[in-house]
Amino acid sequence: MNLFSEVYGCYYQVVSSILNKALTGGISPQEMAAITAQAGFAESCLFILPKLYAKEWHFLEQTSENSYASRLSNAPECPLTLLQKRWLKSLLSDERIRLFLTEEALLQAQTAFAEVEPLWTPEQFYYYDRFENGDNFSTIEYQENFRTVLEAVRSQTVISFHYRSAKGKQTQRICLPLKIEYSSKNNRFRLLALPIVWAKNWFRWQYPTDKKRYLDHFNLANIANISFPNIQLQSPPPLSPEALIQQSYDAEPVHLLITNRRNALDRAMLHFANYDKDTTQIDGETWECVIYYDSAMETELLIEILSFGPVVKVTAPQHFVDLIKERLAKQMQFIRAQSDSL
Amino acid sequence: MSEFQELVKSLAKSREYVRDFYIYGFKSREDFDNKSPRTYDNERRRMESWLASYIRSCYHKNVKTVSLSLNTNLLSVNPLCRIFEAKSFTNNDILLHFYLLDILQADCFMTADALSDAIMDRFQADIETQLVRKKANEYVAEGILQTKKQGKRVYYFRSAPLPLPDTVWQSLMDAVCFYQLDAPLGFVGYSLIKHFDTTNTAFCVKHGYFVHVLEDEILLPLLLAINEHRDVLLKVQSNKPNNHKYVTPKADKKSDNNPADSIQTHNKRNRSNLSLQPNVQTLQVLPLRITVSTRTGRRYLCVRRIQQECFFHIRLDHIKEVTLMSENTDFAFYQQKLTECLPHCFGVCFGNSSHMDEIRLTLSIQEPYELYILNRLQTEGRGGTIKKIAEHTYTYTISVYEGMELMPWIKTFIGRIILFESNNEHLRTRFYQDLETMAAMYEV
Repeated sequence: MNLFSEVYGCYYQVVSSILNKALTGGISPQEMAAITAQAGFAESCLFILPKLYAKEWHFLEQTSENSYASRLSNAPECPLTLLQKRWLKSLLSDERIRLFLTEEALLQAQTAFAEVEPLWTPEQFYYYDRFENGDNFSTIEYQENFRTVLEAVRSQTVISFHYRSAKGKQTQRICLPLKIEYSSKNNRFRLLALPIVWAKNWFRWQYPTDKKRYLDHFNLANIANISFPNIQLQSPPPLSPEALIQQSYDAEPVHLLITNRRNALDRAMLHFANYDKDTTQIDGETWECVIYYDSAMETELLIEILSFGPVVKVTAPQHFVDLIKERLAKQMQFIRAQSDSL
Repeated sequence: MSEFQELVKSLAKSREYVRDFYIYGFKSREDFDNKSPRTYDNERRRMESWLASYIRSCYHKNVKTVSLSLNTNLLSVNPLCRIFEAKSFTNNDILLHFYLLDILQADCFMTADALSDAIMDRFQADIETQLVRKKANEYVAEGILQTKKQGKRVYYFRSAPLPLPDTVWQSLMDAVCFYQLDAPLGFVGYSLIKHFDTTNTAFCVKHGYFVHVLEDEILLPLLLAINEHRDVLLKVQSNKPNNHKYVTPKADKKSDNNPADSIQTHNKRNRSNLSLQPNVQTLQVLPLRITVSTRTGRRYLCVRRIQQECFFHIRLDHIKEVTLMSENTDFAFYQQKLTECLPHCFGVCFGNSSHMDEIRLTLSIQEPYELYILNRLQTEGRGGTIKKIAEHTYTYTISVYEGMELMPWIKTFIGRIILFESNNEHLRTRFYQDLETMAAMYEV
């Protein structure tokens, strides 16, 4: 049972796609090249196609000047491997699986996988610094809301719901759901959605045009009473979901100077690996790291940087430096007050 | 001189290069001085081939650096999974793969001899029966084929699909789209997405550490060992930049980059100097579970060290090789012991009850506006006691094996720490010294 096996390899996938196409009416060299370019690695055309043409991998027969047929009689379908089945079986004991499978479906899946051993069980993994106020995935309401939102994301349908903010205020929201985002640190799901507003002058529903930031984030646990208001939008979203998320990374990037004491370089590089970043070596002991981030996450990034103490220094932008200075100034006041009282 | 190949036999070397390009991203060709320039060029070219869309090259002081640029929040699959698709194979491997699966359709049972004949008849390929049998047996081990014995004859047949209704499969594939980004061994989920020719359009992750997938080849045998309660032999080596260019040895350094220090012991105050040479250790241990940090990006193997009679953690990215050994009948006993240790374990350090670090923080929390700080103490404090001692003033008290592990978290409260107290004078001094250094650094 190997993870690194040619069975999952890119070349097998490319050849499989070529043979699939060749089985139904033949395939041209141009089509083979297109499949290889699309599914292969950057230089795979140089390796795969010569092998097929030279019949070292004798799967194709030339039927005309510009067409090849498969020598196989069937579509090249490979059964699931034991590793894949065991991985799937492991998912069935995760608490979040009920967000995807109803009780009945879960029972059917457990029966189908009865003979398969899981690769792991949840208790074999211990997330020691995960927040303790994660979502409660076990309530029926949460599970049903999750499935409704997932369906809306898939079908790109506008939904309406009641949303309870962090301060407890409840509002009615109408939006187009785009993505469901999970944070392992928070153990929470959030809905990323485009708000929909009623344009009085035009007598129609539309995306807001007066905002710099389009995307709204909703904690799934705070969503209730979801309905489908049957709102037809006249145009698709202004940007793709990925482009909209990218747009939210609007803040001026933070510049850090990392001094390699206390293994700071290794710790910082890994810690900030979940951000898009650029790093350059300034001198033998100092590195500059530029981190791109979403301004909505500014406080989170700020305290992450503070956690490194004196081995990481923010040099830009100035407003970020000022935020750090403000906290340090308050802290030094406490220290001075304490020394004065002694 | 052998020509460049996109595929590799083993991932061990490439994994380290990809990790360096992704995690560090600032190294030039000259910085990889523990390998030949040609090896660097081949590995870089391979990475550019595997992960073309994510490569970023730049020049700094006329030196070219290559890095991997991934914003985990934007991606629907983990691109680093691509490296697991680069296993090399022989011509016979690929020929037999497609020929065997084409011949062995549903309800078809054949011996190795019959398969060899069928390959000759249908494809005019003369492949020895022994090779056919070897490949068929490999596929039995992988679960692609199964066998049935009749007398002395072994018949091979295709594994049947799992008996699941389409609607359940669809829901399960939705789950796969999510779990391939979050679950252990995410590459398997990625391979399922490819297998079923589906795409993940619904899910993304925040705070995702995609680099973990590079450790999955190590994680898999470790999970098998935990499942079977077996000891393992580990080859452990730090993969931190291991040459002296990046490391300045200091006697008091918290030396996570030192392989000896990846073995977390309680006696942190007697650290030895860092070694300039990468130090490979072979350890026989009983693996008990995987410990994950959702904030620092590190994953550890929690083990019982057989000879030293203690628990400790080893970073997964420091483990280079795993060999499964015999079953350890004390597995349940050590699991129980481990559970008893947990209340005093803030992170990954273990110790004994005679050396506990007591820490007491006094914090200024302006109610009701700053109740989120109280909320942070409750949700991130890992069992510490929170007490209101005066108006807008709270204390947080905890007793742990290794107080140093709390320091990064405590520093996130800078700006509201009225007092830091500890029975460990070293911690107290370090805390206040760090604040003074920071104040001087920012000219506060």
